[in-house]
Amino acid sequence: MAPNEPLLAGVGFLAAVVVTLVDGRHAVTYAAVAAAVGLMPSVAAFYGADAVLVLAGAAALTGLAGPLSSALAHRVSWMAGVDPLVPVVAGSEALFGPRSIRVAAAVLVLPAASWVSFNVPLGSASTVSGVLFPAALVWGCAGMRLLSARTLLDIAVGVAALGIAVAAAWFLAAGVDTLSGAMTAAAAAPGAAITAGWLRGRHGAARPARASP
Amino acid sequence: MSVAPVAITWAVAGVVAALLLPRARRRRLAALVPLAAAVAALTSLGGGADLIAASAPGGLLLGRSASGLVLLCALAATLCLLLAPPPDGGEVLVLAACGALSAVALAAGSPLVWGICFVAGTALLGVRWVAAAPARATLAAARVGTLGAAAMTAASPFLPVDVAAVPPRAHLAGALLAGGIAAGFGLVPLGGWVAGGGRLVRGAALAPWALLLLPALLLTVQPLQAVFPSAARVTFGAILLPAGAISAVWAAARGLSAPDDQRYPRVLLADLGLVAMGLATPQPAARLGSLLLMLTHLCVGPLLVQDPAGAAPRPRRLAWVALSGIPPGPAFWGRFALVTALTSGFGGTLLLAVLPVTGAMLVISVRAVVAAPRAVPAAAPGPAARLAAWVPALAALTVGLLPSASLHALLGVG
Repeated sequence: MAPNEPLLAGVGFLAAVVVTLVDGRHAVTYAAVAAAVGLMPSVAAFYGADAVLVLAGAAALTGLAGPLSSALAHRVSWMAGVDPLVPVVAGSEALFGPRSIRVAAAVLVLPAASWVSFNVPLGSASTVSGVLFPAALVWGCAGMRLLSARTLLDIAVGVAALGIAVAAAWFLAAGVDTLSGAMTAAAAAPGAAITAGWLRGRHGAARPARASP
Repeated sequence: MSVAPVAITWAVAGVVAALLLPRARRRRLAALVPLAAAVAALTSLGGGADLIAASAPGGLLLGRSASGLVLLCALAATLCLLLAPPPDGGEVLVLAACGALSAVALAAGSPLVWGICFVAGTALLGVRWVAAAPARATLAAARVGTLGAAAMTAASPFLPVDVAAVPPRAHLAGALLAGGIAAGFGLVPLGGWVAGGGRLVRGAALAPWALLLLPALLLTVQPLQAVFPSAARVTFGAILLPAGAISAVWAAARGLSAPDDQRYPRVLLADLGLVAMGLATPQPAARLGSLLLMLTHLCVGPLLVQDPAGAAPRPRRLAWVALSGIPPGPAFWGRFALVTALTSGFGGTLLLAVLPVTGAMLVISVRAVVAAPRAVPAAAPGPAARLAAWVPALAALTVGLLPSASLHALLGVG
């Protein structure tokens, strides 16, 4: 049965929406899970079950690694910490907030991802086109998330979604060392979760120390 | 040789040092981390195939040039930490992570693994800079540096280059790689993060970018112009040549009026502009010139990235002489080879941009030499730091006196 491309694109679009909008303490996990779930149908249709396992494993590891890293960092109380949720630079009052800017940037990604998907052939063995749209869209939204980042958490969300999107694109392209290469790329998601969790845990550990005389 | 011993040494030594040194209050011992990696690199020196980005499956083998560069980077980082011990364990951890990632990037046969190493390295560097000095410039480092590396990973599904010959695909791959290189090198209009970060962070905080990630990026992207199909080569050159020229002119002009502590980042950016222009041509002289400039900055960088108030003035003066572009300084040979390659590749018009840049860098260096005796170290350095301060300048002069022998011995080139 031929894959239903509009359906694959629709699922990828929903994943991109989550990657663009998600905020809060568990944003890295939600973004990684959404990106993985949104791209799983594409990689399953064009590569196989191995690819689904890699993306699912990366998402699961991201969910586990963040809290573990945070708990570990909380115990290392001799370090000071910055809060990854607090904007690095205080923004001035503006008509549009950071989330609106992200949405506007993501809207610009939509036609670009579509053009790349239908006009640029993919892979070394085949020149299939039209299958890259979900991965390109998630990658673009992660890139915009990086470009418009105000907090360290935005950076972590961007890196996590980007790693999963590139892993999916690598499966679709069937590049050199497909499985190990995609696993390396997908490892960016747990890596980002570990970093964000570590920063959150250190900040949590530093707070009582500051409060005490 | 496999990259595993070097990468594992970087990682394990970094974690151990980050956990133990702050508790033991022995910050100076942090220099043992890159030193251990240098020893591991020394044992793996030689053998292996040279990396051609997007080459072949298998990968993770260090070629002769790559293993030489890993060794040099580790030694440069050792000197940097000897001269200015890191303030906390996080600094050592990021340095070690960037060391391991740059070694893996140098060994990677897959363009995806190569790109992901730079994404992880620049993201960690950005997070560290933000944690050390929260400001717009450091946030820009995290944003632009990481996005640039991400653009390089985005190019990977459209490689390898030999089958990326179809025009839209070749143009896209060339543009993504050139954009990523421009962001990593800090070229105009993406280079504000380097200039801003250079104002806010110093010493060991600047080392992961200047001494580890940047040389690895340069060495790995050098073969691209030679292996690209013609369409990708046109796009790649059309982005890097003007961006490099404008960056070199802009950084040199800003360096003329920069205060003493911000001169070195400006000179580094100006040289990176020249190197980016050299990437736009497949001439062998451009490759040699870029490598010589990289060697020069690896030699003087550990000393000149430090705060001038904390460094000994005499070695600093000697380092600036080596960087001035006066023969037989190493910077002279590097810039001379680059200018020769650029004029033979693109004609004499480029001299209008390149010659003022080299002249401006001479003036900047003279000003720095004059200013160096006025800078008095805040505290008397120990014997190890005093000795370490002389090593970069003397190494640079040696490279200048024996340029081709140095390139051959250290990187197996020429």
